[in-house]
Amino acid sequence: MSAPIIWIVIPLLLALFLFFFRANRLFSLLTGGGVSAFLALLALTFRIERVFPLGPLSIEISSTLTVLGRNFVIADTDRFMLILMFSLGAFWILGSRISGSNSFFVPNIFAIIALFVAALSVQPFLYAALIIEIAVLISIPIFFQRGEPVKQGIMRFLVFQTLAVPFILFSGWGFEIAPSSIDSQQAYFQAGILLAIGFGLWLAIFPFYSWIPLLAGDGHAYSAGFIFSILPTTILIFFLEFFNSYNWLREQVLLFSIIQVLGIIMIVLGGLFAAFQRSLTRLLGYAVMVEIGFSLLALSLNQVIGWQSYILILIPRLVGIAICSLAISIWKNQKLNMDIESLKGLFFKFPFATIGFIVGWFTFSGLPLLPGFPTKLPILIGLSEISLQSIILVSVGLFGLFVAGFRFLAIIFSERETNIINESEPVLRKIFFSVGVSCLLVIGLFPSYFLNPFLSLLSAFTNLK
Amino acid sequence: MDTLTDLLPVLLAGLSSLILFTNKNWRWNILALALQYVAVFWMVLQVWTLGMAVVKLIAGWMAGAILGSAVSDEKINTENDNNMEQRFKIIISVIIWIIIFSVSQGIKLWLPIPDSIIIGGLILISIGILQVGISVRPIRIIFGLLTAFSGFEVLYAGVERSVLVAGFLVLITLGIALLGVLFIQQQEGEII
Repeated sequence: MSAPIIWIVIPLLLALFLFFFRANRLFSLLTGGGVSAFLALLALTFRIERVFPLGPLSIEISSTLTVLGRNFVIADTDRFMLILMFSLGAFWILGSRISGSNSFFVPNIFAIIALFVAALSVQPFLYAALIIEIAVLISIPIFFQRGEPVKQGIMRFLVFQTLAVPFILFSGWGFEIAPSSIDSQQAYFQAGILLAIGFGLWLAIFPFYSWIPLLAGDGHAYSAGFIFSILPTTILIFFLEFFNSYNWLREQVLLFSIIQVLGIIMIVLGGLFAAFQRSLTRLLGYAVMVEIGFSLLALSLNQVIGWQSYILILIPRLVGIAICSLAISIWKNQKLNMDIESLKGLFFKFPFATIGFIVGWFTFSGLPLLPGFPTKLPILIGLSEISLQSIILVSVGLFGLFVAGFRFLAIIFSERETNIINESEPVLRKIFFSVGVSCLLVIGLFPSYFLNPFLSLLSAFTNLK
Repeated sequence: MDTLTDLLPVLLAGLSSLILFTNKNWRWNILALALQYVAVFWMVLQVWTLGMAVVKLIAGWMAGAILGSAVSDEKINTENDNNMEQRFKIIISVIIWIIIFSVSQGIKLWLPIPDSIIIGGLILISIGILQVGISVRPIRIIFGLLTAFSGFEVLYAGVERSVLVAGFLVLITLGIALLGVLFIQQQEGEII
């Protein structure tokens, strides 16, 4: 038995099985969520390429699976990536029960997670671009909503993700041939430009950011939230592989300056758009833009603290996006008008969902005592050593998120004569939001205790230490 | 491009992508898509073995068949072609062809593959992106994506000969076509 069979092939087969039984929602949800949680636990307890005694037997999980001459390798250092992916999968699958997502959601996201694990384990790693594209194609049906035609946000997401693939593959080829090229500096430069465009399209980096708010508004909110959390996470980890593999990239001061500028633009634009945005669904898209901007800033530091922050910032973001998108999808299912101004008194009808959204939102904003603060602070400190103007601009972006958050707070508590909470939220919903909010509060209060284990993700990238 | 056999697939790629871009008749579109993948096969044959190259042809034809199967008879001729729009599209396509012919030698310095592959691939990519950019209806965007992606497949075939990559590219082509069918059915309210 090899690790890729356990964490790639079996989940793919199970996804296919669940696809045929998707009409039985509870069965597919419990099976998908249960197996996903089991695979996360398995990754936590089993060590790859070590003998594991089991009574009179002994089990050894090998790390490599060869398919058509190419290897899929899941080493022991990748176990934290597996834990992250499959626990995320369990969280999203179980949450889909209350989000009102369609019947494609469980089987498709199970397949997507397996494909993303495959993307991060395939060697040569450049083939990951093709696997990510297949995952994107599988993700499209989860956005469909009953009685609604396919909207522009979904189409734009598909187009941008598909167009990114050629740029990534050609940049990889460019980096491979550059050392033997007559003018290697020029070849590296051209490959670098292709890489920048490819990642720009993938991660919705300025000026290719338009699909994020559109998808947040046009697609099912919970499905969009899933894509906003898992797609950038996978691509950002894949991005690290480029920096780990090509020394030339790590030595380019100009490249890091450009990444820094793009990160700042993303934060400023996301924050300002959020401050003036009236639609709650699109608001989440702008928060995601700011988060991607912070990941770029962490990368641009090109130091150990930057690489560590790059990983640490991913974790609270995943929980924040989950509870915010779940809250939005619940409100959308109740046919509420998603214009912020028309959500007066929302807290008194949906206290758990509202508190979940607020805690998630202020995690994005970097409010102290929430996990967004300790994970963003090292990036801001690192940036302050480089340039004061950058810090001011980043603060403007964060201020925009705070403005949006406080505007939301002011509206949801207003225009209620009695101020009595008249909620009728189901127990499952209360449990889900309580767990999400508790996770964020505990991580915010004890960040090093809960977040530092995830730094093991970096152990797979030996050159980034 | 030394011989006529090198030039023919490029002309076929240009013509078929132009039909896909300008014509809204379903039957013509499916036929043009089939011809486009014949051109792709022909160009890829210059750098790949017959066995590998034919995979592209079969995948492309399967994509066409998948899309063709989703259209009911009464929908085949529902869209009328606008003459002004068609003329505009033809002129812009010709401008793109001229630009591609003029920049192909510069690209050859970086991409060491035959001229016909560079020109054919770039024509497909450019017309495909143009179609994606100016179309609103999902199915037209799917045709544009298939065109652009087939252009990329032609160029990438010149530098990569992996069987696994060929397999993934087939999956992506078929996946895009299947999405096209899902979009049509969702528009008609048959999926969810």
